[in-house]
Amino acid sequence: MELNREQARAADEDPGTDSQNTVFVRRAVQGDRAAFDRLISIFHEPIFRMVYVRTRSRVDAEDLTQDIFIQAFKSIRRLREVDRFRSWLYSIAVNRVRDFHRKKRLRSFFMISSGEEIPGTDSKVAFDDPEPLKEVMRKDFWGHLEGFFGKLSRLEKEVFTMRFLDQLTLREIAESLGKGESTIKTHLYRALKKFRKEKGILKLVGGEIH
Amino acid sequence: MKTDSLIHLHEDQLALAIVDVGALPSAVRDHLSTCPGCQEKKRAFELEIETLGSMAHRLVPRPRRRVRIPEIKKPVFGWFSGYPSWRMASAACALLVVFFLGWNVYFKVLPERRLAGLEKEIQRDGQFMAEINDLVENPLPAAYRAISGEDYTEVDDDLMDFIIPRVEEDGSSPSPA
Repeated sequence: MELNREQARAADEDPGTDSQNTVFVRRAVQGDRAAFDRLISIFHEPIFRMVYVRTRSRVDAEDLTQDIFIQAFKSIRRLREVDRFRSWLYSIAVNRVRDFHRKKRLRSFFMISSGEEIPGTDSKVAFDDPEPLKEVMRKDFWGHLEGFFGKLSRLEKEVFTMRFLDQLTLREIAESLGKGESTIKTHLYRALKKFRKEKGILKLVGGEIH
Repeated sequence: MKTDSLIHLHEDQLALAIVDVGALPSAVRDHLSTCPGCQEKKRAFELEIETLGSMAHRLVPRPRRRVRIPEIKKPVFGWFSGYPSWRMASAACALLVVFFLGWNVYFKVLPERRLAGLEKEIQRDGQFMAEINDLVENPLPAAYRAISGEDYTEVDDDLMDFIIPRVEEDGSSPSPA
């Protein structure tokens, strides 16, 4: 699997597009540590954002992002289709976040049973921006979004978040979640119908547009 | 309010158009492609979703910690680390097959040879035990027994009882008195 030199040089100069990412992925699959570091620098923020949206805690999101990349690094040699790297990475992230929530639920169950306080559930811990106005906006936005997500099923919420917050394509969502594309479309359609009935969040978004 | 003899798209159809415009019935799709009002409604819907995405993007804090991949330590069995797992699996299978064949040859294919060996061993054991019993009966070699005058090997117990009767322990034998 010889790499095209010009392609590789182009990727080094201007990373970001899918074809350029594919060059780095191909190199990383062959064991190139530097190429994997480039992939980390490209996907670090999107993965962190993806995890933060689901955990609403910066510290947890940082820890999980680290875990996700370590897991990806350990198993990247097994990646067969390099053009599916993005959905492969997101599938690792989705599973890791799911594990995190399971463990958290289990921990909170035992802590409630023993009367201890649950760490990480305090909103002051989760929203720690030094700018007060931005923090108020952030609380308001995530509060409304949380209310909306509460009305969706687990899969509707996951599909909606991946499509419109993580900006994944339908194919990538289907691959990440291991579902058929038609299933993804059905859940997205249901979520969008519920979104149009959500006055609070529509008002918030409308204020932003105007 | 009709365009091209069709009612304008309602909310559900707009949602479907956002997800997959190809999933709309062909008549509705044709209407959407020609009706500026419906196109505008669809664009407004898309703008709402895009704005939601950009707000979420903006209101997520930036990570403070960089991702660091630690040096992965080589496993204890470093010799095998370079080989793919399927090769290791097939090597293990081959080893199992060899072991299974060897076991069958040793314990099943050649039972006669094994039985003959056992019989020889039993025979040798018998000879050895006979020698031990002989030594228990007559610890001294024959030459020494002749010198010591204790060579009673030819005299059996019945003859000795006839020559020298046993003294009965229950006291029923006639006493000299």
